Amino acid sequence: KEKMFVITVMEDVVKIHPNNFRKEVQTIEDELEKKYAGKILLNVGLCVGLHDIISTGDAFVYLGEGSSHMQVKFRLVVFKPFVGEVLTGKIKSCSSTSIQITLQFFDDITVEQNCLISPSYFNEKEKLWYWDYQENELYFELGEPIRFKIDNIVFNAPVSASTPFKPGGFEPQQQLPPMVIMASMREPGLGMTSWWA
Amino acid sequence: AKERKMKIITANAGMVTNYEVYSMVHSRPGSAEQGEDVRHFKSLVLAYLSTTPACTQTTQGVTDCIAALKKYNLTKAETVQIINIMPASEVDVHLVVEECAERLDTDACLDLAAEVNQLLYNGPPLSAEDNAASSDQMMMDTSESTTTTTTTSTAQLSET
Repeated sequence: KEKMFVITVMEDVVKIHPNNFRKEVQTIEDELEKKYAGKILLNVGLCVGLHDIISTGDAFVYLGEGSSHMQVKFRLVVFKPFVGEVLTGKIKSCSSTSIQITLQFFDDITVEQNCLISPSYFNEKEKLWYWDYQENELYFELGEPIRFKIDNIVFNAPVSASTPFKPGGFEPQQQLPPMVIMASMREPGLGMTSWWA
Repeated sequence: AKERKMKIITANAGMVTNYEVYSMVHSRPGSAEQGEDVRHFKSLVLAYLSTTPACTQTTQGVTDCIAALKKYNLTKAETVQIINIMPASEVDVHLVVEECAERLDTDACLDLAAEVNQLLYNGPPLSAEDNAASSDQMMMDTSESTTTTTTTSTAQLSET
């Protein structure tokens, strides 16, 4: 069973410019952080950063180029929550059909209306959801801590940039976020942490 | 041509607690060389983890807690989650432990919550002098050998 943060073992080739030949290790670390930190590895998760370098292999210098290309084996820390995991975040926004939650470093968490604690209603005027509990209207407040359970994680491969020409004009390509978390708040203990304090 | 050389050797080589991630990002917060994007992203991770119990934990506390939790027969995932959320009540324990009612009665849940809170040091957040190397040892201890060796020759990297 996985966990919120996991270790992923990777292999990649790092290019080292002749100027940096004397500080190889630092350059390798910098290049790996630049390439992976904050990026999503499809079907794996969101890379937080380099954990450590396991080993380096042969370095090749290509004809016409002064830089060396070095094979590196390393470990990354990756944000990959598991289905069923309980996390705490903050509400980013609400619509009549869903609530968007953020963890600050990761934003694409959606709770659909049928995944809210029952019965919940959308206040059209305030544009906020509330839980109708024993005659009380407990509001899902923006920016306050909220606990949710992960139902599903969806990875979306990037859509290719070339769109076939459509008569009547081009249609803008809607890029889906590469990683989307679907969550729910249906059991006791989930929802605004202030309700259960 | 370079993208083809990026390979995932093991997608899931072990679990790490929020505390270990907090330590790691704290000691590698990004540098000017790595670019503002990396630094900004890591600061957001730190900001998030600072709102969780992880930022007040210590290596010793987490190690002691893992040992103390063995008697409750939790899975590795449940153990790590308990440490991450530091349950304050029976409800919190039920949220994390599957089929809790069958495995832990009320007294056991309350004892578990009390023990975890007592062992996990609630002090000031990590200082710059803290040793990230010790968290490396801890990661090895809590990792499960779920080595799903997926040697994908074309891994895909996307922007968030």
